[in-house]
Amino acid sequence: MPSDLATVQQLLRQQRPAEAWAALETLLRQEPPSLEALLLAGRIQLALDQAPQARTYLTHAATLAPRSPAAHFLLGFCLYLDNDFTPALASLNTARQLRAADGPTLLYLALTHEGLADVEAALKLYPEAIRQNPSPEAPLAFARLLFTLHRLSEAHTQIKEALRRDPQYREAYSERARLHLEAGHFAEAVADAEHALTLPGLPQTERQLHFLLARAYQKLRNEPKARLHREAFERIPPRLVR
Amino acid sequence: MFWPLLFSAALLTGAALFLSGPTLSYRHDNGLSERRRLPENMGPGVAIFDYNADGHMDIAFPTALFRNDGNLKFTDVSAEAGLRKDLFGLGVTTADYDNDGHPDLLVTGWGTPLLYRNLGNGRFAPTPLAAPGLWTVSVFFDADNDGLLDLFLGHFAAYDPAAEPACKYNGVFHYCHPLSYPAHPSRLYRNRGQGRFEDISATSGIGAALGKVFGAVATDINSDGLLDLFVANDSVANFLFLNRGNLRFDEIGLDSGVAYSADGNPRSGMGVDAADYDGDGREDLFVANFNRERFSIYRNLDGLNFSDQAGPTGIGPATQMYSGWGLKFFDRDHDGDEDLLVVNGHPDDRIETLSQTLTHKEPTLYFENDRGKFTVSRLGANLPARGLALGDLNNDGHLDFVIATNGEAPVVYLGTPHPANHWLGLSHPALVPGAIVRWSAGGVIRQKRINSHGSYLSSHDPRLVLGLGKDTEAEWVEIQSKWRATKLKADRYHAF
Repeated sequence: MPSDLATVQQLLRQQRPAEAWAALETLLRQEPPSLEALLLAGRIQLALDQAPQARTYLTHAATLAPRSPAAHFLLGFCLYLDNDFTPALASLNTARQLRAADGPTLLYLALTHEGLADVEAALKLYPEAIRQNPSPEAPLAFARLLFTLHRLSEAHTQIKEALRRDPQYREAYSERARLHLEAGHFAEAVADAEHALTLPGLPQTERQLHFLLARAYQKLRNEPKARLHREAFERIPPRLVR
Repeated sequence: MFWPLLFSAALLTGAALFLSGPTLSYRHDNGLSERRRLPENMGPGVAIFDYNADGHMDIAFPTALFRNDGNLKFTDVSAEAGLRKDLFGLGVTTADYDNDGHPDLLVTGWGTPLLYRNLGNGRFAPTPLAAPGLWTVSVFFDADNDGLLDLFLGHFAAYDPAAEPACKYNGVFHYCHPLSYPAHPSRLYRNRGQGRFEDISATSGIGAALGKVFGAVATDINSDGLLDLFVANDSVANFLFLNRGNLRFDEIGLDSGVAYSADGNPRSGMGVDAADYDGDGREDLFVANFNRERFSIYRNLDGLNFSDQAGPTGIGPATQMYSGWGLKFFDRDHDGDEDLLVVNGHPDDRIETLSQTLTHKEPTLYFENDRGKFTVSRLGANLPARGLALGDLNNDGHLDFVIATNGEAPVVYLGTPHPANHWLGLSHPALVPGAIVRWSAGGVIRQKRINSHGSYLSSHDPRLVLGLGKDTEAEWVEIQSKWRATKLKADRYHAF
């Protein structure tokens, strides 16, 4: 039975998750288990959409290594995904104290403040998260917040930044289509959403795009296309979590 | 950004807006089981109405009736009124469906919905209305303008207790997600007069829509003189039934923008209401959703298209952490605009074992309307709230409210006077759903449409209280084109 972390990671790369998990469990049974093994176990459980199990491993990791920013960040990230924002905020704040300029930490801090309806704090954090994070996710998340506040032109600016970072970013086109729809610019909404459908992305975005196209084509009185997208939208089940 | 500062400031003043009211000798029996079965966390609703025409508003729950003896003294008259205690009741609605001048009661729940005819002598006679089911909201409204109140009867999901799924977390039962239960049609009944109702679900189009109905309100969204129906569903798309006339309805929720969130996701709609919150003459729609979904305030753009203004109005951030149920627009401070009250509570009484963020009992939120933007105040202790009914229990013109709680005792709050503003109460047979009331005070003309019910499984004092601002007289008041009066004095009820 392999029992080192490199082997576990190799098995994961080989798409052999069951064997990888068995190997990792051997490492987790060591007393005390290694921080890296606990973090990897947490990551795997998160990838499997098993937030409660991930929380157990990551809580253990953060307790074992209280000065590890990675442990606190991953725990905060896990709690955020599990919608338990109050403890998520505490973990992410700890991670920030340990590693001040970490882009992902700042991004999830902003998202967590938003989740807790502390919009003022989120509005302050997003620009810093965007500066420290080269990925397009941060400006897109900021754009979404601005959209909910109906600050549409500022949202457009953030989407432009997301697309500058990744010109093939489907979620950014999808979000821009939403902005156009809200503003009553239906032809522009259709153009962005149709383009987004040609790009790779998550199934949930695909559902959102069909929803948006159904509404936009209906406003443009293009009934056949509206019906087509409405049917496609209804074929993809929504993802509902409580 | 206007609202975060206002939010904080308003928290400090919330307690002065309402005072604790009388206690009622009633405790809701939710049938709580270890298994945590679906109907347990749904009820109850509450109704405020004057069943014995003594001028004092009484309070009904699905299995209890409290007579208001004046001076805020309430007596339990459930037995002598003939209310059945053996129902698993959820909703309670009042309306005079037979036009005999005595308000009747409709009780929904898990089982057979009962229509209680008010006999006018303090007693009610029950009649089964439909086959057993998980019946939730009932809305009386005149769908065809024939002067008789028709009835929408909402049904939650198809529910078979023998097939109740087991939803466990960490080995402990919790209530299952509504997705665990299949959607089910609701019903529309035409009032044929003389107490007879005809099921027109199929021909009207209402029966074709499969939902999980909680809240519903009848209002006229496109000002065509026909009452439409807005229906909130849990975990499936909301319905907006547009009344096409001749008792036919088209479901236009998706096209109008009220069916889903902006992402196209169904939300967990519970309580609803309609009101013209921004004073543009069109009825807007409100839905209380589940925590993290934000509540929706749909601004009516042109009669058929809506835009969710939860963000810019301040409603979204203020409601993000709560699960809302009963709610009602009303003019608390008599300044002529529509304020809002929302009661909340997480449906899972064991949520605190899973989350350090959420709580089972949640605050009551009062939203003060300031030209279409809202500032929020938290009122009193957190509650496992469900139904909410508004009414003037002590006839002082300041609207009081009753919160029905799940598995606990109801809570009554009394409205307090505004230091400067005046009011005018109206009681008139023409105050029926759909009617538009217009009034002038100090040269300012205001208007309000009467909607049917709103809230969650509840109904309200049928009298209307109009805000006059600082004026002590209404120059004129009119109800549609049917009735008009001039020079009505403020701070009293006028009955016609």
